[in-house]
Amino acid sequence: MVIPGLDRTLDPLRDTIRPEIDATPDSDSETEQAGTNTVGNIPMEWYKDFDHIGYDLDGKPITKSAIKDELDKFLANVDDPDAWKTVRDELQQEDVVLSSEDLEIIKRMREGRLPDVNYDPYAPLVEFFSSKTSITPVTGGDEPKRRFIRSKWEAKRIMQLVRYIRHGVIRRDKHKVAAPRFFDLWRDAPEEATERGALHIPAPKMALPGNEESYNPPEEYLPDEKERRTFERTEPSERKQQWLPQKFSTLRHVPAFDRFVQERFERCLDLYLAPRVRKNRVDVDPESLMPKLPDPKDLEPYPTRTSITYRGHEGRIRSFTMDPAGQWMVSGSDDQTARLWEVSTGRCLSVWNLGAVVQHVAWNPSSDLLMLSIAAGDKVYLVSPTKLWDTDRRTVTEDLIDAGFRQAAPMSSDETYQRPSVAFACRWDKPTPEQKAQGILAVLVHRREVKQIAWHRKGDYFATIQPEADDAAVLIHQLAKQQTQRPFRRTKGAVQRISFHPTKPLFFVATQRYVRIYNLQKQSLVKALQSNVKWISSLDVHPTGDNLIVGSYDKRVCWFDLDLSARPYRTLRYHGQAVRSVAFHKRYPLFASCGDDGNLHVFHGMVYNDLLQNPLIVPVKILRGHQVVDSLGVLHCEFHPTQPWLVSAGADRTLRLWC
Amino acid sequence: MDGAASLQQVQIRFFTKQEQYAVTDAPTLVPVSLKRYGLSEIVNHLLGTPDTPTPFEFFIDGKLLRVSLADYLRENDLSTENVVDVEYAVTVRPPSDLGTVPHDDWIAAVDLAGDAIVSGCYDGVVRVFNKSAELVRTLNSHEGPVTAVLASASVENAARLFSGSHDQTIIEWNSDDTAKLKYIGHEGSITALAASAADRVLYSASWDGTVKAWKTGVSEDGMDEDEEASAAIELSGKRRKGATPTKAAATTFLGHTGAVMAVAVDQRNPSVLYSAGWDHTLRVWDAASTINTSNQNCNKPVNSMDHSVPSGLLATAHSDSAVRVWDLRTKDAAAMKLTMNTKQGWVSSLSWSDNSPFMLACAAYDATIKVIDIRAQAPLYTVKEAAEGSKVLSCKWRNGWLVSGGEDCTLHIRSCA
Repeated sequence: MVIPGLDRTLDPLRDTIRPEIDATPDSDSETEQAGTNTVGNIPMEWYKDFDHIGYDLDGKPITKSAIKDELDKFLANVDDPDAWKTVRDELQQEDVVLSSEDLEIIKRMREGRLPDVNYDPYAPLVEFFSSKTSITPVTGGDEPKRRFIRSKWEAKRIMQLVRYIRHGVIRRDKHKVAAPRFFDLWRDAPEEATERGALHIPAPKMALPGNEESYNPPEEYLPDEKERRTFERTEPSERKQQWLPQKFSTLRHVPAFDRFVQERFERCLDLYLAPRVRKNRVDVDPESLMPKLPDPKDLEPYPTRTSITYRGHEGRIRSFTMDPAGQWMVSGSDDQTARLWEVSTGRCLSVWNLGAVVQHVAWNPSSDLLMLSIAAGDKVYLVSPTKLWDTDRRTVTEDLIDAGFRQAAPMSSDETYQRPSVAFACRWDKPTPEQKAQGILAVLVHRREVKQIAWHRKGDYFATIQPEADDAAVLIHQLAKQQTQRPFRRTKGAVQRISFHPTKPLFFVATQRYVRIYNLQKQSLVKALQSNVKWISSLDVHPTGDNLIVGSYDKRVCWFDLDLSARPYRTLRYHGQAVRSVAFHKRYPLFASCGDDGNLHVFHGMVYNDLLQNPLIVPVKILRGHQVVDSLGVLHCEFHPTQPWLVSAGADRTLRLWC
Repeated sequence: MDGAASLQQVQIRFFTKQEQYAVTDAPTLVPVSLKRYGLSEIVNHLLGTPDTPTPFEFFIDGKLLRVSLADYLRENDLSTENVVDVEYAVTVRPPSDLGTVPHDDWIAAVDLAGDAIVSGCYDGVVRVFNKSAELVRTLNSHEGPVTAVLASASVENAARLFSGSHDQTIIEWNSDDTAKLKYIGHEGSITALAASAADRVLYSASWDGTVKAWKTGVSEDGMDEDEEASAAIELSGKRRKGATPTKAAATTFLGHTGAVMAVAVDQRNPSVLYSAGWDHTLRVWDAASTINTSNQNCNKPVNSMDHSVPSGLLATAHSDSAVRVWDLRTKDAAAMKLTMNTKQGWVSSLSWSDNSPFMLACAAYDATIKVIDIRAQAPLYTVKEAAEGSKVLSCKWRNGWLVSGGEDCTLHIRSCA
C-alpha cells in the first residue's frame, strides 16, 4: 500500500551520490520521459487533499500547479481559442492541447469507425496458415514431438489436484453457498413451473428398426404371396405397417426411401399434436413390499406328508378325536358307525354301530377317566372303550357314571326334565345291556340332532349344541351329578360351534357371524367378536386362551387376538373352497385349517407372552392328499396331542396322519 | 479319452478281516474300469476258486464301493499312482424267501432265538414256529393284542419266552404253553421288551412313560415267588387273574415325558440300558441304580431301537423315514453317527444283524424292508412285501434269518446272510 508522504524507501543506497540520469528523447523510460510525475500511475484522488504531489529527488514535496477556479476556467475558455481542445492530464498535472490528428481520431471513434486512418479492414486475406498444404510454407519444419505427447506438467498438476481431493485438502462442500443478497419473497409460493412449461418432457423416442426393416431380412420375415395380397387389399389406414419387408442382395441395390417425407411428416405431427404427460413411475422394490417372514425351514417341526392312512369307514368321516396321550383315536362317520383306531399303526380295534349319522366325537380330557362322547343323531353316548384294556381307569369311569345314576335315581328322569315349567332339554338314560357290552355307559337323549360336544378341560362338564332346538341350543352337562343346564334362554342366531376357555371360566359361542364370549361364573356376556365372515364353520381356542381362530364357509380363516380387538387380527384367505375345520396344536406353535378343496394348510402361529408383540403367522405347508367327493374335501382336522403331527378326516372315507 | 481311461491301471492292495478269505497283500495292478464284479473275480482268482466263486463286497476307506474304481478315484480326487487299500468281505446276499405263515390277524411283533421264531399277533396269541415254518406252540393267555415278544432260547426251552400286550401285562411262558408268570405294574400298553442275558432281568417299555425292570426266573426261588406275588396283590389289587402268579415291577425307570417305544440292553455291558420314545429323547440308564446317566435329544419320535453286539452301536427308527445310528459310549455331544433317510415313510422296526457290525434291516409302513450297510450311502436291498401299502410292523434279523410281519397277516421268513 502506498502511503502519501512516506514513499521514500529505506534503501541505504539512497544516500550515496549518484550522477543524474540524463533523460534522452530515445530513452524507453516512461517516468524519465515525463519528468514531472514522481508518484507513478496511481489514482490522483489520493493526493486531492494535499498541496503537493510526490517528491523530488531531494525529498522535497513537489507542489501542485495552481488549480484554476471556475472563473479562471471561464476566462480561459473565452480568451484562449484552443480552450475547446485543451484537456487536463491528471497524471502529468498539466493541460494538453490536442493536435488535429488527435481530433481526427476522436472524430472517427465517435462515428464508430476505426480510429486509424491508414488501417484497411478489407485487405485481401493471405492464408499463411491454412489446411492447404503449400509448397513453400511459412514454417517449414516438421510438427514437433511435443504436439503429440500429453503435457507432463498438466498431468502433474492434475495429479496434484487429485491428491488434494483425496486427502481432503480440496473439498467441494467447503465452498459455502453465498447467502442470497436479496430475500426471496416467493420462495414458498406454489410452483407454477408446469404452467410456464419449465418441466421439460423429452419427446418419445422412435422405435428402433427391427429385423424386418433390414435390407436383407431373414427369410421368415419376408411376406409370402398370401400375405402380400392381404397387405395390398387392406386400406392403408388399417395396415399395421405401411411397408413390406424386402430383400436386397447388397446395400447398393437399396433404392431411396420413397416414404421419407411422409414418415418425417407423421413424426412431426406426432410430436406436435400428441400431448405429453409425465408419468410418475413408482419406483418400489417389490421385495420390500413383502412382509418379512422367517424361512419355513427354521420353523420345523411341522407335518409334511402322509404317514398312515386309516381305512375302514364306509361313509364320509365327519369328526374324530384322540385321547390325551395320543395313543388312540375315535372317528365318527356318515356310515352310522364310530371306530376306535390305534394311532401309531392304523389298526381299527372296535366299531360301534349307533344307528344314526355320527356328527361329532370328543374325548374326555381328564387323565383319570377313560371316556369319550359320541354324538349320533339326537343322542350323545358316553363311552368307555372296552378294547383298550385299561381296566383301572375304566373302572373309575364306570363307578363315576353309576354313582351319578344312583344319585339321580330318586327322581325319575322323565319327571326331572319334562316338568311343565322346564321345557324338555335332555334326558340321561342308562344303557341297554347290549350297549353296556360295547362300553356305552350313558345315553343323553336330546330334542334335536346334536352337532357338537365340547369338554371342559377338567373333564367334568361338557356342552352340546343342537342348533335346531331354539331355546335349548346350548346345553351344559355335568358328569358327576348328571345334571343338564340351559345357560341361554335364547341364542341370537343359529349356534355353529362352542368351546370352553382353556384356563378361565369363559365359554365361546359361535353363531353365524359372531363369536360371543360369556363368563359362566358371572353369567354375563364378556365380549362379542365380529368375524366379518358370512357363515362360521369352526372355532378353536389357543391353549393359552388369548387367541382364537375361526373358519368360515366363505373360504376364510380369521385369527382373533382377544387382547387386541373385537375384529380379526388377521384374515387368511388361502382355501379355494369352504373351510371346514380349524385347529391349534396344544404344545407346538402350529395351527391348521382344512376345507372342501381337499387341502390342509399348516401355519406357524407363534403367540408371544409380551403383550406388545403381535402373534406371528407364517404359512408353512399345504398338505394335499385327500380326494374331493361330492364337492366335500377334508371335514375335520386336529393335531396330535403330543407330536407335531396332524390328523385329518375326509369325505373320501379315510383318515390321514401327517407327520 | 475313454479308451485311454479304460486302459488306465491302478495298484490296489486287498485285505480282509475274514481270515479264511485272506489273499496276498502284495499290490495288484488292475484296470480302473473294474467294478465290484471284476474285483470279486480277481479275488476269487487269487484265492484259486474261480470255478466256485464267492461274491465279495469291497470297501475303500470304510465306504462301500458302488461305482467303478475310476469313478471312485475321481470323486475322491485320488491319484491312480498310489496304492489303494481295498478291504473286501463276503457279500450279504439279497434276502431270499424261505416261506410264509398266514396268521389270523395283524402281526405286531416277531422275534428269533435259536431255531425258534416267535410272533405276537393282534388276536392276542403268541405263536412259536420252528425254522421249517411249522407251528410248534400256541400261547393264548393275553386279553389284548400282543405288541412285543422276546425269545432268548430255543423252541424247547420255554423258560425265556416273554410277551407284552396292549392289556398292560407281560407274560412269561412255561414250556407247557401255560402262563408261568404275569408281570403287572404298567399303566399303559407294553411297547418293547429287552432282556439282559447275564442278569436274568427283563426290561419293558410302555406307553405310560416308564421302563420297568423285572427279575425273571421265579421258579428257582420259591420265596421270591411268594413275596413278589403278594407285592403284586398289594399293588394291583383285584387285577390278579386265575391261577397265574403275578408279579409287580422290581424297579421303575422314571424320566421319559412321553410314551417309551423302545428299550435295549447293552449286551456287552449289561449295566447299561437304553430307552427311547415319543418324547424325542434317547436315554441311557444305569440298570442297577435306575439313574438316567445321559440324555440325547433326537428331535423326532423313536419307534424302535436295537443295539448291535458286534459293533456296540445303537440304531433308532423314526417316523420321519430316517434311521439314526448312535454311539453312546462316547461322552461327547456328537453321539449321533449317522442319519440315513430310507425314503420309506414311517420306519416301524429295525434290527441289527448279529453277524456284521455294519448291517441292519429296517421295516416300514410302505410295505418294504430295507437292508442297510451303514458304510454305504444308500440301502443295499429292498424287499417288497406282497400287498401294496400293507404296513410292516416288525422285523428281526438273527443268525442269517430275517423274519417280518405286519398288516398282511403273514409271517415272512427269509434267509439273509
